[in-house]
Amino acid sequence: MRSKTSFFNFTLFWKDVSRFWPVWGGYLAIWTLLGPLTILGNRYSYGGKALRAANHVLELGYVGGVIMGFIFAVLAAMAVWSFAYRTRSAHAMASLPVRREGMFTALGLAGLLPLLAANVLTVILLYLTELLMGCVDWISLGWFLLLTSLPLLFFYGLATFCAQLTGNILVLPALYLLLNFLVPALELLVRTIGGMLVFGMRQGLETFSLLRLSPLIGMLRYGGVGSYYYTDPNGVTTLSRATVNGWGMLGIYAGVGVVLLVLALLLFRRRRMESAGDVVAVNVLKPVFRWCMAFGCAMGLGLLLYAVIDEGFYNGARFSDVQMAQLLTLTLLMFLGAFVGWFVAQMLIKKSFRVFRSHWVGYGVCCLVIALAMFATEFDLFGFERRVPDPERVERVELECYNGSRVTLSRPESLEAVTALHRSIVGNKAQYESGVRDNSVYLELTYHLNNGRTMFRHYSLYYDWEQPGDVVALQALINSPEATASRKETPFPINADTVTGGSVQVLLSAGEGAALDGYDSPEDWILTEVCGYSPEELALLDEAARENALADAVYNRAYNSMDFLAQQMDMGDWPVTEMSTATETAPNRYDWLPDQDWGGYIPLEDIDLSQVLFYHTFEFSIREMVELYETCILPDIQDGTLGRVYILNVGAYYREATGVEISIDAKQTDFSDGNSDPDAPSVEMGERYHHFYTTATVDSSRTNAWLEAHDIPVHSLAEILNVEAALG
Amino acid sequence: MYPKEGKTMIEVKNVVKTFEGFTALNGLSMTVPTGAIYGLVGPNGSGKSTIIRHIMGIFHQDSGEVLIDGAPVYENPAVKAKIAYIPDDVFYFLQAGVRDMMKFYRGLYPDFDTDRYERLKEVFQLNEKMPIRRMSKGMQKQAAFWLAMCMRPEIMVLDEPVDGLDPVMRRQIWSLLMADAAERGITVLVSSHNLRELEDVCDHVGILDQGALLLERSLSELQANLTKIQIALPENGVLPQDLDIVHETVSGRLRTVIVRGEPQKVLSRLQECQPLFVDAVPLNLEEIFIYELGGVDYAVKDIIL
Repeated sequence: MRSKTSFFNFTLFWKDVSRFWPVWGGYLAIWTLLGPLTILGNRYSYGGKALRAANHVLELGYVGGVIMGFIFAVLAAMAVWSFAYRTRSAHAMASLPVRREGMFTALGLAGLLPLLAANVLTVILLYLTELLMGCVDWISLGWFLLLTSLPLLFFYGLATFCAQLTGNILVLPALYLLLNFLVPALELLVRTIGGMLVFGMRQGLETFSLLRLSPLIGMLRYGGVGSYYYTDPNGVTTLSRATVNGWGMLGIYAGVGVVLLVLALLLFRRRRMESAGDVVAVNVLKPVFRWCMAFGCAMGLGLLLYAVIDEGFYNGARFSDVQMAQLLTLTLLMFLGAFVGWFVAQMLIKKSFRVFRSHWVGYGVCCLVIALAMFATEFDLFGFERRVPDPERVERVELECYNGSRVTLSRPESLEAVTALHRSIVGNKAQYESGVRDNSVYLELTYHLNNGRTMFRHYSLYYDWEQPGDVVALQALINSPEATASRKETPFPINADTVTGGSVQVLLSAGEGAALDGYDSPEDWILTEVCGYSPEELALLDEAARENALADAVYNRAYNSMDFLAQQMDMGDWPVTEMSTATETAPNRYDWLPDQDWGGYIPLEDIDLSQVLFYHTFEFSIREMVELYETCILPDIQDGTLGRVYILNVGAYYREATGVEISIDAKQTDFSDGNSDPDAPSVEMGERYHHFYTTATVDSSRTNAWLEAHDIPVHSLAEILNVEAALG
Repeated sequence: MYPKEGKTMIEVKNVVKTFEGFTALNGLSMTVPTGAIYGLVGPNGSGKSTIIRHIMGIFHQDSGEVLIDGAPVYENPAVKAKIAYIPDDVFYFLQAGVRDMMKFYRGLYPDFDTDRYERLKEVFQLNEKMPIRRMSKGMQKQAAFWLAMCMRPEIMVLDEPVDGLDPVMRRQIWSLLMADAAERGITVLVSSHNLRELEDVCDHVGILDQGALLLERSLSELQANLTKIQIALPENGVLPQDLDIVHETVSGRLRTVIVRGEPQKVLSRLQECQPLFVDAVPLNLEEIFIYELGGVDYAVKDIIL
């Protein structure tokens, strides 16, 4: 008995390669359009031709490799394994004198090798194109081959693995997509439900921590091509270097792809050819499929229905002990979702709609598990809500809160204060969960523990003005010297080498503005400086407008500055915070704005211009800004007199904060570590920008002295707004 | 020259196969002698196609053994290379013509005979380049036979093989198969509902019912076991009580009875009744199939108009 086959069969291999040529042809055609033709289109007519071509090739290879691999891997797998999804072809192939291993190798390679060959052909075409244009870069061409092949290997492994799990060709791409996005989808569901049930867990999508486990998103987000640019003294920017980030991740994914191929082989060896047409081809996975569908639909469909019926869902609704009705509603809707998932799965498995006579016990167990999980989570059976780390076990903590920026604290006294605040918040859970208070601030704590683990908590702290509770301690914490220094820490030194410009913006009354600029009256100053018209011109415009003899466009142009000013003040676009409070406490300043109905044209004579406030900007040289920063701002920050934030104390804010906001723009050109941050692969390599800003306080003595020496008036907001009496 | 006495080509031992709780094969055992033309008959759902798929190594049994020439067939390419299989629903690649499929099978079956392919072109007269999917069902069956015969198999497994073929082509194909059987001693396992056709070609018959083999005999043994008697008894005459009558119809004085037993013995027993007329008529395979199954809850009802 001689056998012509062992672990590879060329006939099977070649048959599939020749049958499915449109897949490989399409892949190559798209690469040809994306690669050589775009390089031909970019003439690279100025400096660094080869480097720019190399950069283009790498960027194309990375992003294109991931996306093309993602799409064509599943198409190739669908093609070469299509025989297994129809009874006739599955039986015919299984009757051939070829062992499963040989069949798997032949068909598997028939799907993969043509795509890899197309990658090689693309590299050859790129080389010929670069040769034609005189910009050949061998290294980038080699990297291109790897960048296009490593993701392809992973995605093909995943698609082949999926192909062995199902007996239905439509389920294959669906399963492939699901597995690509399963982790973030599950994280979204768990976080959303957890955020509703668990005090301290963030609700929402902002902090997906497991995105790396979504292959497509992970590869595109956590890797990429870094391009380093150099700007010469004449201001001409050229590409100096291009490099690839994420090789390790791509290598790991490619390795996982190989593992998946091995698993697929093991499954194929045991594949039941009678499973052609089945949604689940592996018998032991059928119950798994049923349970996964039930729990997936319970969370997904349950949440969806809940979102439809409860408008509070969109406002980050959180259940409390007194809102048991909501918890019960969500639980019942999850039962409904589980019912759909459980029995639809059963219908798919049985290929029949008659599935309701059995499997009720399993569904009951599923509901019981859901109910137990929901109530155990809500009532904190796992101790998640009560857990507050011992300060001695904390290496550092990152604290972020409303208006407080993100600060990092590591001093023992800070850690003690943070954990004390945390304990107090946990103790006042009932108050914060009720959500019916004057105001709220959010607080996020990220503990980095000594054992290398992290612990994250998110709270919405609802409070009354009269009883601010924990918010008092929070404000003190974020204005501690360490927090202030951390908040104002810059990513690179701000000095003569890095500062590119800066300004000081001051809130002025019209009278003060007029005096500063040498005008006789506030009206003259406003009309000339702000509106850009003389009083006579504006009077004529007003008159023409009243007689409808003036085009709206001309009139609008005349009043544009005034309109903007009014809107800005109405919307509360203030340098610091609490505009709404300012409005309440200083209503006299806004009398001239017809409240909600304002929006038309106000005759000039109806406006008391002396009462209007303006921002006035003072420009300074780089040398002056560096001097201000180094000699005044930095020492004041160290003292804790500058860089304060106010989240609670309205009176202190208006008395301490001034109407002076200092802005400094800085840029660092650094080729050493430009794009090392994997979370920001798209940042241009080598250039980093920072915008420093701070609001002077009445206590920032050095800064205030400098400002006054440069003729800038420094007044507290209370003085400017004339609200001292209202503050009491 | 064939069949080779005593040699077994296909042996199925106590094979059990269930699909989602449904038992398709229930301890099925069968034996196909080397060189035999074995007809596999049975009602719909009896498990004919299922056991054929086990014999082809497509399905794997839950328990039991399927041996070809003494070796397990499942995942055994050396054994599979000796078998040509023509399923009821012929397989072909979507774009492929007969010649494409020939090249495909030539690469997989080591004994594929290209010369024979060229010679058989005269017999089948099909357009080799025409996509098989465009052919009629009968033409597709012809293409399947053409290719299968070129594999020079030791065993041919045919599932409803002549379904769709015109009478001339049926005869042509059977004569080719019979010639192969005579010249090369190939073993043929054929399942069919066309019992009259099987009767002409088979030398062994296995009858399946509900996933198990009801009986398995050579055709001559099978025909010797049941006797069809036409008899006219004198007035008040009765048939002997100890006769194993499977079925009886009466038309006037003429009775037609199917009796279990050898014809000569039955006839001699009936002579004791001094019949006015008695004759033994041979049963065809269809009648044997019907009356054998009649005893296992597959009763054939007389239609009364």
